[in-house]
Amino acid sequence: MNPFPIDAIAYGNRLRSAPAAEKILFAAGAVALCVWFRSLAVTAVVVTIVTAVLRLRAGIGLRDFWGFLWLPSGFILTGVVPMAIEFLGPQTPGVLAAIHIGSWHLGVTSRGLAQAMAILASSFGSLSGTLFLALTTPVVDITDQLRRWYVPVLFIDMMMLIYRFTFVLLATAGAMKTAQEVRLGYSTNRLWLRSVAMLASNLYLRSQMRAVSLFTALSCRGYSGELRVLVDRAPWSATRVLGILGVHVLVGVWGVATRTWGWV
Amino acid sequence: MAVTVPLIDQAAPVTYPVPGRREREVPAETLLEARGVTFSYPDGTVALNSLTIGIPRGRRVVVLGANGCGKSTLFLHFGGVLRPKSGEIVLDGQPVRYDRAGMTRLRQQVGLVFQDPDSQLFASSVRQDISFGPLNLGWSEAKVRDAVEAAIEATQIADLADRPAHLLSYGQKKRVAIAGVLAMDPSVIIADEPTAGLDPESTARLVSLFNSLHDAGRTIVISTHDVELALAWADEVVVLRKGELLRTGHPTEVFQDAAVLAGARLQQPIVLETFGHLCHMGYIPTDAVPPRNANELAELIGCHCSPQTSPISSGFDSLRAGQSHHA
Repeated sequence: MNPFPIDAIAYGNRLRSAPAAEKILFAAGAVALCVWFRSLAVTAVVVTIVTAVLRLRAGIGLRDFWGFLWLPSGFILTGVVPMAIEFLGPQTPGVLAAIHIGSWHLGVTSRGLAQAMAILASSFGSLSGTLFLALTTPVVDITDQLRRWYVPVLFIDMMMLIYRFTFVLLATAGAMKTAQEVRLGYSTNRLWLRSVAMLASNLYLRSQMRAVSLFTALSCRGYSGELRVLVDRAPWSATRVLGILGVHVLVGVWGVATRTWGWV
Repeated sequence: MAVTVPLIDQAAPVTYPVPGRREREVPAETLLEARGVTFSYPDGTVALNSLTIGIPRGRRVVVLGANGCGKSTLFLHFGGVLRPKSGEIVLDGQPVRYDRAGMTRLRQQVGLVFQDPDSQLFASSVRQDISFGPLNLGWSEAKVRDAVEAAIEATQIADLADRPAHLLSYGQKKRVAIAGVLAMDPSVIIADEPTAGLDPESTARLVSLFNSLHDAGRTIVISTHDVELALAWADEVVVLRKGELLRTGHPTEVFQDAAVLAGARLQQPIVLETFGHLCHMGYIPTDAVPPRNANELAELIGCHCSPQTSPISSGFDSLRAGQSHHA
């Protein structure tokens, strides 16, 4: 029924009713640890914990989690690989492997590899933390919580509007694509390119018109520059918050330990 | 009085009440008026041409007219979105002022429901969207909460309250959009083609929602192309043509005015057309009260054409007799 799987899981998982503040704390801690330590050892532990919590507490299967992790991981990998490969000078230390094309020398150094690994570790770990939040917490709960934390209104308004109109835009684009398709708009490569161009430019115009009619409709309900909505107070439990912080501290200790032992 | 509207799915008939005939005789004060309003769009299209009409308080008003006759433009004037080039909009006897205080007053009193609910819903959840209007009125949080819950209950969307708008059906979005203006406690709710694109059951539900809002003392104004609905439901019909008022009055009178129907390119409702034929053919006396829906028409036929004496039934009887002879 819901064509947006992440959204469907966010509304249907067992951690849905848990206070957003606690989930944000857990996810933010995971991201912070991965970014701070930039170490594969820490990332491995964080990803394991996140997977376990999703599986055991939220009832979200491995396949779902890794399914969503897979696509952005592709982006990370394609970004990290060129980082590890660099142009070598005659004196570059620590060359692990190299190829020579004419007078060009391309290769991987231990320093470059370590750097690439660090980026891989921090981005992959942050990704799993963010995905944890996306899968367990609907956007409305997140914006509510940000409001309670007095995050600037403009930021939250933008977040809310972008979220809402992403779906409107997707629906519009889908309908336009279908309309083009039934009139053979995508039957050849040439037509495909033409149709996509038309769709993109039309979508822009439609978005403009949408914005105007949204403004009109909001004005009718007394809009004067701020999108104020009601926010419920959500309870949070000190024990759970302490538990989450405890996990963070343990992972932090693990990070410091692996660093002193000289692991990656 | 309630009539049963037969649906395609006969198992689940939906009822909606039809107004009593006597209501229109009570004179009502004018709640909202357009006085000599002229408006043209930047491209030169004259949308309203010195239009003067009044919306009586507590009535169900249906605005009819061909596409481009100025219905939506008129509604946008009532909502304070457009400003007349000449003439004025009058609320409760006072001309509308276009400063902040004037707009707040107008927008609290006049709830405008747009045809496309997607242009109205913006928040991440239904409840939050509904809370937007009342919060803009500067009410206390407790009052806003009460208003939001009351609107949710009145529009029967409690099960949708925590959902995001993109998980709602078209009909559900329409109800949420209505709840969003209802929460501001307006005197009049103006809806632009609220039944367009709805299936018969959703239409019947929406009409009964409008009826319950009307019973609670609110004035309801809708535009539609559905002449049967206008005939059955309206206390008063307003017919526009090219930005001018063609006629206003009780639906049975307006829909029997051939000049108005032709001028506004309106179809006569089938109920009245059939009534006309039956009068013309002598089955129903010409001074009979015109019916407003199929049930009233059936009652009329039942009163004036009894199965034993009427030519129709005797014709059937002879037909049946003939058949039995053959058998």
